[in-house]
Amino acid sequence: MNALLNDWVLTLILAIPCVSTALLFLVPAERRGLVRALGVGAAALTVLLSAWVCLAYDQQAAGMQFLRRVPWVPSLGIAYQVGVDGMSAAMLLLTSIVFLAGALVSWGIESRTRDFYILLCALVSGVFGVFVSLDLFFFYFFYELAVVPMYLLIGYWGSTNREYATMKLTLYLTAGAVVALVGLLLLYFSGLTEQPTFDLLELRRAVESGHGLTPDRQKLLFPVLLIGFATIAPMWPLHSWSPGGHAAAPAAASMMHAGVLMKLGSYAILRIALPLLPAGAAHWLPWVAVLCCFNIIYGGYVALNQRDMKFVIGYSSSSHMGYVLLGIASVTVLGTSGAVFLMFAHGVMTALAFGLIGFFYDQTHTRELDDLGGLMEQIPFVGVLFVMTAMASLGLPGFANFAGELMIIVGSWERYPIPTILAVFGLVIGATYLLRTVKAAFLGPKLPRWDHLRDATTLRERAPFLILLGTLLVFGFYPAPLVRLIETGVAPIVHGVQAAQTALGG
Amino acid sequence: MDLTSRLFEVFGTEMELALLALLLITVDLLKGKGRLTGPADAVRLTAGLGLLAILVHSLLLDPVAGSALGTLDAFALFWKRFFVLTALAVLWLSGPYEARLPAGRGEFPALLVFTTMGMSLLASVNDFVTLFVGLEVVTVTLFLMSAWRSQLPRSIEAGIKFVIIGALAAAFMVYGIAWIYGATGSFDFAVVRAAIASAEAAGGLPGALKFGLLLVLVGLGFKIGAVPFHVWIPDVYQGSPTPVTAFLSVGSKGAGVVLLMRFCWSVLGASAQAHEWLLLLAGLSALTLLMGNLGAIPQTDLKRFLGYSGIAHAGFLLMALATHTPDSAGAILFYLVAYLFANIAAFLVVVVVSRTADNAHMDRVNGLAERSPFLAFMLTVALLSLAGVPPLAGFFAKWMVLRAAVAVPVLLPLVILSGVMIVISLYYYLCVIKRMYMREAIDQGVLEVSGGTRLMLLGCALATLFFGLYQGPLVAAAAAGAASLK
Repeated sequence: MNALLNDWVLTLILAIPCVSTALLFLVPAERRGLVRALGVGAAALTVLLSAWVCLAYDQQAAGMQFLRRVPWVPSLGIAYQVGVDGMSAAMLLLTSIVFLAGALVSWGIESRTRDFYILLCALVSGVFGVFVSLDLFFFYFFYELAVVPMYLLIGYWGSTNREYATMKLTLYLTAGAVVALVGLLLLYFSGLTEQPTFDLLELRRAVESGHGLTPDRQKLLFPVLLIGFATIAPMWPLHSWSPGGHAAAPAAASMMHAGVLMKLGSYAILRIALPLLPAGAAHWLPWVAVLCCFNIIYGGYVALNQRDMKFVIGYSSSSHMGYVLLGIASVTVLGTSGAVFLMFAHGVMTALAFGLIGFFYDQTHTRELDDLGGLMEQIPFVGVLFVMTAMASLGLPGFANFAGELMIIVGSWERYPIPTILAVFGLVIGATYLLRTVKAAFLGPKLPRWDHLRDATTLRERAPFLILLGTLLVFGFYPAPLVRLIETGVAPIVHGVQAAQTALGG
Repeated sequence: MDLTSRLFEVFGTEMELALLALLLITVDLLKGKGRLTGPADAVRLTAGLGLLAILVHSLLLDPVAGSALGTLDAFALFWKRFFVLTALAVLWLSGPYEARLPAGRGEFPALLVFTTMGMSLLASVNDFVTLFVGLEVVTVTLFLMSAWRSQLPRSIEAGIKFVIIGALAAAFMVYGIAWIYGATGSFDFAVVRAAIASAEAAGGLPGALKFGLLLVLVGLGFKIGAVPFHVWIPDVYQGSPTPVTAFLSVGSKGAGVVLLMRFCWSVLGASAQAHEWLLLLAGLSALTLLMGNLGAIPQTDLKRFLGYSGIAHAGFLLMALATHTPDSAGAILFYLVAYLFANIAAFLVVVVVSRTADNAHMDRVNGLAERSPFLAFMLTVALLSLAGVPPLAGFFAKWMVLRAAVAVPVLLPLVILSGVMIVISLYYYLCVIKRMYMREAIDQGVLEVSGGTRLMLLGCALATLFFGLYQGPLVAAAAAGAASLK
């Protein structure tokens, strides 16, 4: 039984949202209760399985585990191949938790409930697919699959300026994906292996056994992949799709989007670009360290000037992704593991923030800080949780974000002292806009026009928020198990790039 | 083996199609009404069953060695199946369109089968005379069909434009063939190819031969709608009855592609990889991609829109032709099958939504998600497949073309251009999807969707999904077809 589960658990995790998508088509649209139960049930099941993957992963042995390979189109070198290392296991856990929370907060959606859950499940299928795929074709397949459902999710159920925002988001991400595709195909034909193959493991073995591309070719190829993937990360100046998309999206879509979708970019850089093109990475990563300062400082300053709460959190997300990119650029086990850990923590935190905003936005129909105020009086539960989210976001010890940011800052200090100083300064900016947001929306005198607001009272309403907050607190107080898990995946990648750095003479 | 039995062997499918067409005319006469009476009309039923039988029979055929008049290799077989399947789909498509086809015109299915015979003949050509004959059969029958709604000025206009442009293209073609004959003394592809190869070896093609080949290329360019020979497409697509437009966009384009592939592989042979041909095809591809994709953005008529989108797809196919590797030939075959299912579904939805109006203005799909979620979803699947979104067949088709093209370093600028165009195409397809899901309907009338239509749409969507997820069998079939292309 255990052996069977070992072999197929990743396929099962991937199949659950796929099958739910198909099943939902068969459920009559009027049976909303069944639709919701199916969505939430599927999500809960993926949480259990992802948690099992994280626990059952053998950290001593490290490497890729739970491998499964099925030849798909052998003549083109395509195989369905799945497997996880510590890094992708953590991302699986993140995705499933945010999926569950997203499915729960969407319970109240009354318009086209079934279609909403279909799209949500399709989106999650794509995300899970990216995190488990070890074949470049399927990686790309799922990457694209994750982008398009978002178009309809935002376009139909969204708010502020949704049609513009969703078109911009979809086109930006597709443009990034196409650039990445050209890079991947060039990599495929680059002669790394005797027969061109999309098998990521085989490509990695070729690089590790010293048959990698010449440093000059790597230097040409790396920026193609970097630009392609960094669009979704999002790295400044390719970030402008992101805050508008966050703001326009319905709560669950913002949660998936900021919580998980944005992580695909950084993940792809770590999974493909760094291990396959270590010399290219060594050459270009200092530029990433420079650009991510713009993310941190510029994103933070723009967030300072926003009046719409979702825009504040949206710009703060692109600011926080700057920290992740800094951690990746540092190429130390500590800093890069910190980056992955922050991806996890930020995913949970930002999902919580968007979930809470969505909860009261459904009633207030405004997120303008000037209109809100004193909400703590009427909706204390949401208010307290939002304050805690803000604290997590600005890096208060006790929340997981603190651990991630600290690891990044310590890890990158030696190599990039100036960006690190700027990053620390960025934390101050973060504290400023977050505290201002909390003050403007939740503190201050009670406003009678919000007396009709209803707090999250039932367990079903509170559950998604408590799950997310609990995750932040657990890994905030005791990050060690997750950090160790991530390190097992990150260490070989980092060592590969470090060796290339030494070879390049610096 | 004597010539007659060889002929029967190679052109079996064409003979079956010709017999079926004659049978259809007879049935129509015997019925005495001289008109189609509904989706289950005797003529239509005979046509459907006959085409189905021919399709099944063609699936059972094995490739045989070619004769002087034609060839039945795996490549030809692939296309014959493709064309018969297309004809079957178009026949089905004309069912819901029924009421709009005028009375006294029971020959419609017969003409459809005649056209299919011409297309099927084109799949087997290995000399320029058969090529010209087959092309004329296809074009002349399509002239008639595009002007079928003779009470509508738009339909007449479409027919006349098509005739004039078609005649022009045929003139180019036949003039080119004459030059080729003059330069090589033969109509046979193999002889011409040998002449080209020896001329290349001797230091370059003589001007006369090159001129002839270019003129033939121009003639074929008209057929698939390559820029600058695309001008007829939007008007003819808009004016023709929708089933005919669907047939033009899939069948007729397929016929153009099959000839271009024969031209590039069987006539030009290895010299197609020579720099000048490659640049010529790549240049045509770049222009076609730009024109199709940019032209599609401002369209407000669904059929014109699909016409421009078809031009854009022709650009992709030309890129694969410029690539000229076995991989790219397989990619073209895969691409057209994906294109077939998506386009047929799209045109079927157009037929249903424009039922109560005399045009196919894009407003007709506004709010379709409220009026008929099923139709809206099917059109979404079709358009997303055309845009190349996973997990649909169109994604894998585009991916195969790009994969083949990246292997040829000279084509990198074209690959980058096509990447930009993929993003643009996603934009205009999403604009139609936006109308369906995010706009109010202008017509709240009930949209009745018959069982047959539902079945057809579901079939197209499932095929699109199946070939997008499990590509293996179709890739293998396409590769086998491409491998026999010499």
